[in-house]
Amino acid sequence: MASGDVSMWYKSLSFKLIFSVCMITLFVVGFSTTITLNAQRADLIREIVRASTRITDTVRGSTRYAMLKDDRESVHRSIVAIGAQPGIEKVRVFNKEGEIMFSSDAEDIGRRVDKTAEACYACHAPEKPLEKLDTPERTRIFQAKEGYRVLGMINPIYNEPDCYTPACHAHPKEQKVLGVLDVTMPLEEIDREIADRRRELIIFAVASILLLSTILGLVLMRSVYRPLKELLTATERVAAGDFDVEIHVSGSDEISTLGRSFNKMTGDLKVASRELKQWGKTLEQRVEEKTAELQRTQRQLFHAERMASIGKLAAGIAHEINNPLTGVLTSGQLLLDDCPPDSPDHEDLETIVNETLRCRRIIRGVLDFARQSAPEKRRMRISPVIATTLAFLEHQASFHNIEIIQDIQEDMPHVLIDKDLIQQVFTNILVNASEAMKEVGTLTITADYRPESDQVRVCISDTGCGIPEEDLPKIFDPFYTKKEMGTGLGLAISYGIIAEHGGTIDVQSEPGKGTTFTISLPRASEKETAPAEREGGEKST
Amino acid sequence: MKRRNVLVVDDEPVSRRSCEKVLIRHGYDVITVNSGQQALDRLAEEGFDLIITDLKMAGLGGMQLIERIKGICPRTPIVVISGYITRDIIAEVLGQGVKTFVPKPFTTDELLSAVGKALGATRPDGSDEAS
Repeated sequence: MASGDVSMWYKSLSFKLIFSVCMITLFVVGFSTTITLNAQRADLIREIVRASTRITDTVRGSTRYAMLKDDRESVHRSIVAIGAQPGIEKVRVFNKEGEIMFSSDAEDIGRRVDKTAEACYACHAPEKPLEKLDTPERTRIFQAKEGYRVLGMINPIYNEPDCYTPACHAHPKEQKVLGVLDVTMPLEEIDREIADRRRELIIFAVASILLLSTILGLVLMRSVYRPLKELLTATERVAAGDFDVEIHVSGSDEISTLGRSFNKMTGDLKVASRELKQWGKTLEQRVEEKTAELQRTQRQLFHAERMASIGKLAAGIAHEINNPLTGVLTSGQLLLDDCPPDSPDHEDLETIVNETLRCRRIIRGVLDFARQSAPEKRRMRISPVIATTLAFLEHQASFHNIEIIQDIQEDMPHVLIDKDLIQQVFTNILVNASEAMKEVGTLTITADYRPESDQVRVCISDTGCGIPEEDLPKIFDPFYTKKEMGTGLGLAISYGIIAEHGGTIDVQSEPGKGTTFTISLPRASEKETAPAEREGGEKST
Repeated sequence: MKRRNVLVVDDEPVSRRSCEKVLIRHGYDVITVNSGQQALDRLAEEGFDLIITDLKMAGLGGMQLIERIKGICPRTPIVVISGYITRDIIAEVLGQGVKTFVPKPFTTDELLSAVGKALGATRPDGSDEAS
């Protein structure tokens, strides 16, 4: 990127601006300088021409009398005197044949010049020589032998009556022009002055360009280049995902406005990005929650299905063995009635009867578990069901040394339940808790409504021996028991009942500290409310 | 006092025999039959103080039998014995006016208690009001 910047410097905005301004300045200054110089030069030339005219008039005037008298010596002296004046190169008088009659330069006298010479050209160039010339045409500028420029002005000496009437003169009357007065003036000083002016103007132009470029460069650097570079860097950072970048903005020009817009845009982007991330995170969380929920449901379905299969099989077996067990039980009891207590068979018969009764308990548990009929659900609150269960259990000896703490939320929403079945679930869990605490400890029952899941939740915690982690997945399985006289069906039945109510039952346990069973039941929907409430009301009262 | 006569209807011999033995031991006259149809035939011949019936039987089932008995001798109490007592079945039996159930397997006391309770609803001499 940096090397690209260096190699492409001539494409930069700053260069283009500075170059354009320099070109415009150069053009303007150059053009105005040229016009000024030309005007000054023309002025100077005009001034010189006026001076030449005055000088030639002066020469003519001062030599006229001497010429009329043909006092050549006097004419010569006047011409030499005038020619010695500063700013005058030469003063010469030519006769018609081109011979120099008088000259401020003595060497020139007697010399004859060609008619094509620069002094004669103006009149003699046409086929017929001119007799009258305007002032501009009487002047000429030519290069002196020494190298500098010279301005010459000719002034024809016309044949006047005074010239051909006196007897001393030989000028015929027909002759129009008697000769030419030629005054030359060096332009060296003027040219030097013009050159100086030009040099000054060029220096001024260059200095102007340099100054303008510098000022413009500095202004551009400060107002455009730096902010733009900062903006570019910031843009690259934003493109890379860094939304914390902020441009320093001061002033109120277009670049500052752009900077403020950029800052606002970055701020908006930052907010949008944060919201997007938050949404992403929330979505991720929701997906995780839903996945966990699905997995839990899947596990429960699998569990329920497994239990249903086992239950059906067990129920089939139970029904089949009820009749033979009836025979064993009644026959055993009849035999026991006939057998005196001191008989050696008495104990055996007791064993037969007791074990048959145990088998009966197991079978009834299986039948409960495999119950095929739909529960009779009524709309009611869960709290009276808890109260009824506790009222029944509290009177039992096994609960006498157990402290029962209740934290039941008031006015919980109704649930749609079979009161007897839910009471059976609570009884199962509470009896298990009592046994786990060896009939001494604290039992905590909490019930509340959970709006996030729209469920009523009942937690039953004991301070008993707890359940080892490896046993936790199996406790709801049918026939799984650690109790000597247990059927292993209590929790399996409870699980089935809660599942039938569309709820869930979960367990958390820590060996040595206790166990918590959490039962969640869905709130009765409004649709179920109206008819169920009437029935429930009748039923519950 | 006249001995109460009881009709036991059950297609399971072991169960039938158990009822018979217990009731005879405790002073009842017992007639046993192994199907609903036999029970109806027997009822056509004589009256009984109490009818004990199973529900799940081949041929004429317990529920149909109860319905038929109600037509013949509506005052005769009925005790249902079954190894398959569910809520639905209880509801159905209740609809037929039967109030006493003894789930199998039962103890002698449970059977005798149910029989005593059912018979208590009849007059002490055991005669049927309708007859």
